[in-house]
Amino acid sequence: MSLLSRVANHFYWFGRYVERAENTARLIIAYANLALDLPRSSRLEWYSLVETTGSDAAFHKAAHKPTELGVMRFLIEDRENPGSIVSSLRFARENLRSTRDRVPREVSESMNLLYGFVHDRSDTAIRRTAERYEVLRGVVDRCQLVRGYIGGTMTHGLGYQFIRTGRMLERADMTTRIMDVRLDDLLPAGAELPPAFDALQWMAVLRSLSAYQMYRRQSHGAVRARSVIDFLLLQEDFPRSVSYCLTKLRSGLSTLPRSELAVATVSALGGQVAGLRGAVLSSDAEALRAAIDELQRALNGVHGVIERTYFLPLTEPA
Amino acid sequence: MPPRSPYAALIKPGYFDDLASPARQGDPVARAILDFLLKMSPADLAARRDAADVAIRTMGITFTVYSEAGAIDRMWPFDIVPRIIELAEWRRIEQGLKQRVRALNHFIDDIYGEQQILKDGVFPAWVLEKSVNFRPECVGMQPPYGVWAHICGSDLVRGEDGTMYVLEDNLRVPSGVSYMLENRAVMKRTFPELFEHQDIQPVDEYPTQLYETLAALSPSGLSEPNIVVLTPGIYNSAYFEHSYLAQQMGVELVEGADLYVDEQDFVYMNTVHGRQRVDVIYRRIDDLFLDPEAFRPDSTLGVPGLMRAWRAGKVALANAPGSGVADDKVVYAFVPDILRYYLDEEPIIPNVPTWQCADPEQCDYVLSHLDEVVVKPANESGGYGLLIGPHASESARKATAASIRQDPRNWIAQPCLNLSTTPTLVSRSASDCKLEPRHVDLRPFILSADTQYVTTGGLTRVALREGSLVVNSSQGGGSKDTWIVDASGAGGGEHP
Repeated sequence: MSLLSRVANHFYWFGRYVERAENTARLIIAYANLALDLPRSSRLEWYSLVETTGSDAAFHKAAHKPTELGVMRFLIEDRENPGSIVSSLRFARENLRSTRDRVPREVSESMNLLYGFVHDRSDTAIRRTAERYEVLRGVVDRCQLVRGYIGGTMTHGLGYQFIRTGRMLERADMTTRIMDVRLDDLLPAGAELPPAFDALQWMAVLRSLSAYQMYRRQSHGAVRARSVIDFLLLQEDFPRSVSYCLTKLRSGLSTLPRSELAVATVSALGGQVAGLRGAVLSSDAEALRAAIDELQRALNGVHGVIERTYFLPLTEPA
Repeated sequence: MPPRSPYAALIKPGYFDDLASPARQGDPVARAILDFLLKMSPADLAARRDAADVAIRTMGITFTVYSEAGAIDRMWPFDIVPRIIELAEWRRIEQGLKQRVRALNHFIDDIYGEQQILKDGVFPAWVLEKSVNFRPECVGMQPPYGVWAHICGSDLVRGEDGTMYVLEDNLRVPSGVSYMLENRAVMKRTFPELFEHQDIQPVDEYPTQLYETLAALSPSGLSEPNIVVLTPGIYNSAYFEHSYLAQQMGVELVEGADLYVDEQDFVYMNTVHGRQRVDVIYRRIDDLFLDPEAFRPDSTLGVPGLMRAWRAGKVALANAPGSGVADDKVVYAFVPDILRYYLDEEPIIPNVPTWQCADPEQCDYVLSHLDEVVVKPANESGGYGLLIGPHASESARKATAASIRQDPRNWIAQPCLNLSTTPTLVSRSASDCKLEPRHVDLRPFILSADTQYVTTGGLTRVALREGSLVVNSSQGGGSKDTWIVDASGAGGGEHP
């Protein structure tokens, strides 16, 4: 049986939004951990988080203050911010509703529980730091639960492949964004960095991607920018690395009909990523940022190809 | 004096009860079920009800209520006491329903064709002129088998002597059949032991029958035509049913935006494999939203060009557009005449006697008896605009009287039937759980194409509030499993 383009689109965005919610939670946790390691004299520029998630325009429109609480509200519970965790989960749930007849009940139930978990928290939970992180960790846990039910109970057919396609594309994008958490941007200009900070910030990045232990098994000694960048971009077997995401994206797309162009686009991007080197990027902040921007543009290009191939209505005779 | 019957508390004086009325006590099945229920303690009853609630929750049986807060899926309100109809009586009702729908289809076909019934003076032209469901776009169409209403849901009620009447026919997009099927599944989980001892006729043949009815309409001649269910989308109150029926038939559930009509008038759906031809559309969208080219230009639910495709015979639509012309409540009053005219037979199931406010004499009677009758607007469904005279306030009666005077042709009235009851579980607190009579109706579904099929029983709806006669789920109604039981055979074997 085939799959309606509209339903495929819902599956794809369901996959993306669940992944986005999870990664936004991870990103905030990473920042907060860094904040705790900073000397009391330094203050974090929380607004950088807004830039990292690419939601500057929405932030200004919502007229939040760029304080810790303002940024937290905006990223976690602001319904007007389409990129907030609550919005991502609401969109994920809405997309799933339209595919209800095609997913196992456990998937919808775990999705409803996840949405309810965030939705039911009052804003005092966001205001109080300890509770806030409990909520964020809860989001990560429950996203994993939804993912587990998808992988473990749903037929790995067309619909599943579209969920996975959305997930892998979103995850690759979010990994590059989390790598972009640069300490020099977090601190007001001219602030003095304690000497061990370069290592600390990369450890925070690794931890936010649950990558610290996996990284450690491969790289001993001091945590160095070049090897972390290599790990997160090139490590073929770590499930949140960009290479891994692209490989899975390509193998998933190749099971879909009419996917030649999409597969070729992902393959080309894979080749581009394979040519990146931590040794080069770690020594030049500008080069790293440029490479990340370029990756994000290319991932957006992959999205465009998928959208044109599968989701846009074919009103012309084929 | 005879000893007081143990069933007396279950009967509302002056009303027929499907289980407890003296007339039903010769039926061993009704007695067996009633005795079984009466032996249960309030705690046992509550436990069974809770089990049913859990089953409904687990199975995800919902209906959608749309509000400002967004779409809310409410749990389907279900009562655990079954409604029972004896097989022999059901066979007769089944014949009556087939007869009625056959006549209605003749009528629709004639109205969009020669209009012989108007020429012969059996049906007045003004009713047609007044009809909001008559579609000039359908004139001259000749759908296969002369059938327009492929899926009909007729509402049946019992009067105080137990006589079954047709209260109305729904020929546009009748809903409720999925709940009929799900109610049986819930009941089997809740009361498995009752099924072991009775011959209860199964209901689950419906999706197959529906599929075959739809397949018979295919213009393509393919052995496996491409059939789809067309839904307005997830915010529609019956979305659960649309999705359920598509799943049960193994066909695609589509929205308007999934389909398009090409220049050769063929209908296609957009899939990830490219476009695919569609042969038959079971549409759950009202006529006026079907095609913005032909009807409401602002409709975003429909498919531009769909009427063109249908008129060109490239796609079948079920029900055919324009079928609603026969389910207007003014037309209802003429159904016995329509039936005699086309079939030359007497109606097997009677109509509820009906006053036409269009007739000045009948209108005067209605206006002077508003506190006794039920008044209905001709073209509303779901119980909207309905006035139940004896229960209505003086101001509501006055408002309705004004509306009738303003446009008498838009109104009909019927006597306030003593709608039959069935024992229903009522609980006023956690520990207080008992059976009380509540009013019920019955909606069977009739399928028509090359052959006809009637559901085994149908959806029994129950007015859960004490004394209420309104059974619509949007207005506090619930539902029951409906059992067609064979009392002649082994069914009553438990009792000597």
